Amino acid sequence: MSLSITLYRTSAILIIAVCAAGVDSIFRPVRLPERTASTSPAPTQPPSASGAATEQPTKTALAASFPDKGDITLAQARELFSKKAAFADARNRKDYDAGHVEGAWHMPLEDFSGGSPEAAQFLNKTDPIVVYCTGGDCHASHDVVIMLEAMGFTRCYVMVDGYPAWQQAGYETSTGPGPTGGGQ
Amino acid sequence: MSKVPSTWGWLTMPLRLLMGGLFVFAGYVKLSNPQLFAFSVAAFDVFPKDAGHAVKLVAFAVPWTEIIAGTLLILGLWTRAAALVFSLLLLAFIIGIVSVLKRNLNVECGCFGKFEVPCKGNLGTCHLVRNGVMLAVALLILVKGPGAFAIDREPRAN
Repeated sequence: MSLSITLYRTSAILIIAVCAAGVDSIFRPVRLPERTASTSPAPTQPPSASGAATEQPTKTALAASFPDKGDITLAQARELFSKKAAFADARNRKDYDAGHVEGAWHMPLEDFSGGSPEAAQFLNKTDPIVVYCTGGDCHASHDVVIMLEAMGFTRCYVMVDGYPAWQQAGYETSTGPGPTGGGQ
Repeated sequence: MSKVPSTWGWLTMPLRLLMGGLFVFAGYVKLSNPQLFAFSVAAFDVFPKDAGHAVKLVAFAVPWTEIIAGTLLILGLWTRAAALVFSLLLLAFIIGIVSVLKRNLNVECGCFGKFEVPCKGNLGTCHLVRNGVMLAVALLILVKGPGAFAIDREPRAN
């Protein structure tokens, strides 16, 4: 078979695929994360001195200027932690088991491939949830936030400094399985 | 269709079916949750920051290409063209993976969704080897043709 026929057919396959993709993308739009190179501005109020949660429920007592969602600093994340906000770890299982924010749920991106992750059913969609990964060029936390928002979660934050900064600051961590004993 | 396939014909036939089936499955998994695959494409960080539309198009175009070309491969229709498409696709994947590894980025493959076999975790050497093997198979089909049980009419190889 001549080379030219093969090339014509190859082009035809690619053109048909791109057309199908174009139509599909119109009917099923996707979102892309907005990459943040550096952390967001410092909080207007200092974080609580103690990491031990003293206030409940989660959505109270935040400064009026506290963002409704989006990227937050380590200090802002700590403030939410002190208000008992939920935390979600977007890293892989191995990293999570090695150490995570105390009480954080394990919620890697692949858990969304079959629908919603098991951990999501334990969370209130209107309460704050802080998602983190390893900071730096890690994108998983932003990706998980997009998935959570698509599920109806309205107050999703990304701790852009990531777990290494949390750990380095000496904040509360734990190891091994998470809140439901590793079933998440 | 050849009446009596050559030795190569009997060899390429199962490879063609296997590869076609694999890519149809991979395309289906990606299209069943395009958002996740769009994240994977974006994570390669090979597109300019303001080219989000290109990332989205690629996120849909790759699985559609896999499904269309994979189906053709299974049927043995336009086999060489489908094999050439996969060769180009796999070459692009390999270049992308090498680029990711050189920049030390942590990128999930997103190739088969939850069914990442045999390579698990972030992109690494395993994915390079896997794609290299598949590229070799695609090139073999491209050179040798569809083999047995194909719709394409190929002159019998002696």
